[in-house]
Amino acid sequence: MNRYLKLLHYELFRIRKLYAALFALTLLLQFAGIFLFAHSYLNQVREAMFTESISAADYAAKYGPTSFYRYTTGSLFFTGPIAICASALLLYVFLIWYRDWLGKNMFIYRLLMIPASRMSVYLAKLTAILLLVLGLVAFELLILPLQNAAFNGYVPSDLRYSFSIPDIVATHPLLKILVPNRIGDFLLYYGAGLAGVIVVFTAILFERSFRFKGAIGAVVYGAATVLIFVLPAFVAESAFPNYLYPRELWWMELAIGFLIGCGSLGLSSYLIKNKVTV
Amino acid sequence: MIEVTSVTKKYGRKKVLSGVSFTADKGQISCLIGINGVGKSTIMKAIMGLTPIQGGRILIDGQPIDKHLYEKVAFIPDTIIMPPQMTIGEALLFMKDFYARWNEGRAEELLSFFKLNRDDRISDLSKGNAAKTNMLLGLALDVDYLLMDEPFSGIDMFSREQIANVFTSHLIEDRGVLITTHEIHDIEHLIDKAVLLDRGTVLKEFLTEELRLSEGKSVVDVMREVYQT
Repeated sequence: MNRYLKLLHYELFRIRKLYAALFALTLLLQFAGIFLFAHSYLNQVREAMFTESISAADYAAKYGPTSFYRYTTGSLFFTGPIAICASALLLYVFLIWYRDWLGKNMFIYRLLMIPASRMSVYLAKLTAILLLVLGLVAFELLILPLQNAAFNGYVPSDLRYSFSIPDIVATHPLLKILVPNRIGDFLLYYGAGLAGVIVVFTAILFERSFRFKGAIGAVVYGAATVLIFVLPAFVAESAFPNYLYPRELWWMELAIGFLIGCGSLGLSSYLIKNKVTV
Repeated sequence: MIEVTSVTKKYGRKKVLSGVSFTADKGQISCLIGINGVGKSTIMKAIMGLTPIQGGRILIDGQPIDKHLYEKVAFIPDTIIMPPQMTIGEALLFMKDFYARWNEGRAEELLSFFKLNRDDRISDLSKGNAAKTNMLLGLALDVDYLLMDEPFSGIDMFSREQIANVFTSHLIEDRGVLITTHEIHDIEHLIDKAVLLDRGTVLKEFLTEELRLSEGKSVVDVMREVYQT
């Protein structure tokens, strides 16, 4: 446990610069986006006021006011950084292993020779990915009220609707997935994500154990798990549309995801202990 | 004692070890000798559980390798295995954090013995200093056995001398050392046992002093006999 925590600390320490860069990028782009979005909207208002000789209130009544919600859904400055962070973390799911294996300094030698279960290395990497994801989501939630306040400060109140942050999170197409309203959905989304990362880790260990043949095995394994995961929903939709209640299907997916995660963990444990080769 | 018995290992269809057997005792310096590609490094990795074997058995003091044995046997590969962005000081801290048998006093002693600077980044080290740092990280562990893969490979004359001096110092004491090399001249006078390898098999295993006394032959003489016949 002690060594697992130390390894986890080390994994997080290693990515601190890239992680800080993602925070900075999100902060910078999303706040810049607010300024540009509001500036462009206010320019439109001014132009209409000038050309149509109407007041701001008339403009709002005629064309409708804007809102912070509209910025979050309509501007690439808001969704772009989230997509960049998600892509970076997705890439890091692979890099977290391959950075230790490739290059002149093969740190994997040291990691595999630590006097602790090799699963500590595996679990430290897995936990690091999970914490990195949760950290970015938490950061987004933290800056969302600040962005809202900045938007409200920039756009006069008679030209905008006000939404509460919980309302924005609950209805935003992207945020409602990242921060689900119900605990069940949270378990399903993040459980599926975690199971997905475990499957990718298993696939990487397949490749690292059997190289070329392992890479083929990894692709087959990945495809098989995706198929097993989506099959019940696909069959329920296409062949037996009214056979299962949505809740039953939800539980079935959760159980399958859990089994895939556990099975992949077991397989990973076997590979890293017995088959992996440096 | 490290016992390697009938070990076979394949990479795909290529057999790199075919029934390799030998022993390396505590208190002795044993040397695996052979040209590049005969399987010396693979044997080292197999002993450390870093690559699976397809047949045979490897025991360290009667036990197969497991996590606890990493406190008993240390492996010094031929390249540095700490991340390039780490400094030497951070690498020492890492070892201290993870190994109960890390000997800080010895680490300090080795640091000054090799004239290494704690603040130097690993990526900035010369080949010689990288080899010395690697040596330091292995030698500062209070382990019973040390495995060293080509410690003299590709480094300058003075660094070679410094590393060779380690073998006659108290830093080795009565530990068991298993070393691989394809250049015997640097350590011929230091080794107690030689294991000659070719194409994944052991051609000859002998105690150097015994052979010197009984037949008046050096390790190089035996190598000539074995490899050139």
